[in-house]
Amino acid sequence: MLRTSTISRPTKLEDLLSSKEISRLDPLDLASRRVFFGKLKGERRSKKRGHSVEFADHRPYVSGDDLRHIDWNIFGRLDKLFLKLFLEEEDLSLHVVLDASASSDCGEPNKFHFMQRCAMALGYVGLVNLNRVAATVMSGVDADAPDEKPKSDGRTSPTVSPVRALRDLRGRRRVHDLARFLCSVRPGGVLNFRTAAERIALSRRGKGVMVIFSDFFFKDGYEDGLRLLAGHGYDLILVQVLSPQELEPPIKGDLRLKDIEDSDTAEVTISAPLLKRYQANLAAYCQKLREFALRRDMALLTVKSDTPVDSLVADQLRRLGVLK
Amino acid sequence: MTFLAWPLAAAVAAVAIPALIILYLLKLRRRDLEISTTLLWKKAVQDLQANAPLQKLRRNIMLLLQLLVLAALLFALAEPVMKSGTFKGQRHVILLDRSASMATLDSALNTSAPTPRLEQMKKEALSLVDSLREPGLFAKATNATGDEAMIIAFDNAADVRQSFTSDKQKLRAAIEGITQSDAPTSLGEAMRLAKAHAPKRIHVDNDGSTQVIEGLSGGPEIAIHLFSDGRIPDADQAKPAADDSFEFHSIGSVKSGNLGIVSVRAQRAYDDPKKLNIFVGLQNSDVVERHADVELTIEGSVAAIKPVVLPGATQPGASAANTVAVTPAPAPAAGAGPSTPAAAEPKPESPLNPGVGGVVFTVEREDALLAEVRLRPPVGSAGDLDPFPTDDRVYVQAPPAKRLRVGIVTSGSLFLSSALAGLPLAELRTFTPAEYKKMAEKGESLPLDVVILDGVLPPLSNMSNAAGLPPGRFLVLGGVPAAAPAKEGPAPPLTDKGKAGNATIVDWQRTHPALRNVTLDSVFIAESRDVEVRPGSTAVTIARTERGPAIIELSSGPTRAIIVPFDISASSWPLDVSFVVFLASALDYLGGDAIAGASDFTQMGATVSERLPAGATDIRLLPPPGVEDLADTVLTPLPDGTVVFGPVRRAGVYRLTWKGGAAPGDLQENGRTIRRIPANLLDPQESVVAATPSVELASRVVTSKDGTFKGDQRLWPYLLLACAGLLMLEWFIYNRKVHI
Repeated sequence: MLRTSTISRPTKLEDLLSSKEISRLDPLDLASRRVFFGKLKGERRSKKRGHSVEFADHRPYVSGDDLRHIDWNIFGRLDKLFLKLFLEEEDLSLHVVLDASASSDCGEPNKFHFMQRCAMALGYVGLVNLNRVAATVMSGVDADAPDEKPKSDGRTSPTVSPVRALRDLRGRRRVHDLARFLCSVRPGGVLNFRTAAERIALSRRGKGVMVIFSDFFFKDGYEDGLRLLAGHGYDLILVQVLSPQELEPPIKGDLRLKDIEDSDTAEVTISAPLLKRYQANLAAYCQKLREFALRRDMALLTVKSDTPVDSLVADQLRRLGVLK
Repeated sequence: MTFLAWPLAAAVAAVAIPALIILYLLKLRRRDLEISTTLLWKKAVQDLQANAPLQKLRRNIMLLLQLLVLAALLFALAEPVMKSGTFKGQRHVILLDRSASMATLDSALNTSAPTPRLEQMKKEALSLVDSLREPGLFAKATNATGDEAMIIAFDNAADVRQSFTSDKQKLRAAIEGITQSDAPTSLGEAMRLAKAHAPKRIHVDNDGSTQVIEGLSGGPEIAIHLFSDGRIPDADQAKPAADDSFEFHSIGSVKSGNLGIVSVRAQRAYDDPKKLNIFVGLQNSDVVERHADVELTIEGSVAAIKPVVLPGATQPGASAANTVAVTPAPAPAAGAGPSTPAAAEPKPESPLNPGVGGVVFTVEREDALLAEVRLRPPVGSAGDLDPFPTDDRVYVQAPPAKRLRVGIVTSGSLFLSSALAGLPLAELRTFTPAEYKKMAEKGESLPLDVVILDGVLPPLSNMSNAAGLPPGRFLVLGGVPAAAPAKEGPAPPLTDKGKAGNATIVDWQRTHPALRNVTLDSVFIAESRDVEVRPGSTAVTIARTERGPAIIELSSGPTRAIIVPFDISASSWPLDVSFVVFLASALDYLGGDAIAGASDFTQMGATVSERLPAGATDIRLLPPPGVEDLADTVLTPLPDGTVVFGPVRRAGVYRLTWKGGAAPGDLQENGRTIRRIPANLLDPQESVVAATPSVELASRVVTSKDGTFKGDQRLWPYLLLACAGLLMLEWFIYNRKVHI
């Protein structure tokens, strides 16, 4: 909740994932609750029949079929020609999206740093299993930025691109590229989630699993943005990252609370009923997000920023079906 | 309820309340804190405001509490007091009876130890002082005044122990400083003092002139509080102002009975001066018959004990039973002692006639003596005789068995010789004027106590004083001593200006020893003398006609004389009984030095005047033994050798000591001469010690009120407590953060 007092920004892969964590991630692979067709051969079974070593089915021979796939054993017993079908193995597209607004750069431990590490962990799993991995950062823009133009609906839209992306990474050797990309991001500014989601949806390439790391504290609402992303065929996994201070605010006294993004203020005198009411509101907010996600076949996972990354990835995401 | 300092509180309130509200309206300085989002906080605040019951009240509850605290403080600052309604008025005169009867040992209700009424009275008076309204803590700032009180202690005289003040410490000190007196009670002087200190009422006439109305008090009404046992003989002469309230606080028990000595006299028989009779009068104010022993002690040795039975007090009209018991009385019944209240219930409203009796002791003693008469419980009974010990013991000084030797110089006076023949004199020698002149010229001094000069004046000589009389005691009839004309120095005390015609005696000093028990109204003087008494001289007029002095006393060194300037044979006086009484009293008075201790005793409240032998120095008066509130006093004699002290307020034997010669009857001890002066209460009314529940004043009957004094209840301590409670509540609420 509070601005992080001292931040040590990661600069390389080792700052994001330790070797111990990497060793725990190695056995894992991406999964999807839905089956998508891949573009390249990969290690994932596809609906399509292909040329993998894994048997799928038999079908009668028709002319033109490759004779190499005839199952001669069946022909010997039944005296009919059957083709032996194998499962096709394809790659899976993993799209990791990070909320890099100023509100993410809060908490102890820092929420954005936690998101970076989670994204790196997921990206690592995807890359080492020959999946296509894309990373997108929804950057906030300075609220005082002058280059904003009013849109037709009256809302403002920053002219600066709200997203930065690194696409089409594949293979273990691209792990460092992903790490460098993630380490280069500096969170800050006000994020217009709908605009950012729109950009991501418009620039999509294929279908796949999209994991969005954010606190989802958007004053304009998260519904439109998520609706745009869900409508474009993504298997959406929402990871809501909250700091421990947001769950149990360690504040007291007469305060003027200032929003770190838009400098909006709220004058409060911290009291037990107020804290109780805040926590009730937070729980209701999270529950509302969960219900919204369920209705649209999204998965939601709410985690604290002090959760160990390997535990999150190896346990909670596996239970959610993102990894196997 | 009243406020002692409301202007101060109003002034502070005018500043403090707006200041508090302004301070509250000022925006609270809050600490800035950056957070990730205000989304949830704003919603929480809105929710809480919407859902909080009595949210407007809760929002302002701190202001409300602080206003309450401030209100309590301001209320306390105004010093509210709850009026008890016990007394009226702001000025109180507290009359405290310190007379002899206040020494009665009444048993306190809560303790078995008897307490003197004086202490009980002080206790109640102190509680009255405590209940007086105080001026308040900010009296100087607000010019507020509290109740004022004046303390007057009285017996038969009164003195102001503390004039009007609101300082309770002074009032308490004045009350605690009052000591017991053995004098009888008289309210008159105390009331006069109270009136004198009250502010006078000023009447403004229509023409604008003002006049002070005596006897009426002005200003705030006065409450007079009388603390007494109600035994005040002259209470019916006290007349408080109509506007003034009069409160009577009765001290003591109405059931107290007392046995006391109310009169005593030591007298030698005319026929046998060696025989000394001591008459003792007794009184029983108890309702039952009482037995007692009367003990006579002479010079420290018990000389006689006589039992006596005294009848109980009776209702007025039943005096037939109130007979005098004549000694010796029959032996008392075993165990007879102080009566029990259950024996007979007296009616407090109707005064009882006390039972009286007497005892006569006869002793054979020639010399002067000091006798002590004491009442004791009968032999075999335990405990005290009665609760009032002061009148159980009296002292009397008996004169020595000596008579005067009187010489008379006359050319023949039937009246004089007839009157002197009836007096108990040791010797009466008659001289003719020629014999007296011859002896005087020879310088012979007559071995006589008193010389009566009937129409004869001594020849002037070197021994003569300024008045023309030689040393000695003289009763001069029908002449005015004339001194030799002196060129320098003061004029002679007496100047005879010749005949003044007929006259009657219009005024005389009734208290003078020579004129005591004498009535001179009917005396007609055919040929009076015009005598001028020089003011400031040693001559004092003790009786006067309408034309000038009729009887003159002259005291000058060793010479003392009573001078009757007119010719008694040319007046009706020798035919009046007062002449014989005067002659006897004058001889006794003039020969007083020769028979020291002629006065039997001194009564309480009287002033004692003792003539000491010439040359007495270092004169000291020692109080009676056991009286701790009196100290030794150094006395200075008057020019005629008289020392005066008093009024005497404690009973007992005073001892007058000096260095110098002694008169007959005086004692010699360690080179100093001692004269014993007994002082006794001997007041029948004071010996009736039963308290009365009411006093009858000239204008009203005031009944004593029961109950304790309740002063004005000060409320500021409770307000401060409430203030502290509110502060604690505010602190609790602040910590609970029940407001947003």
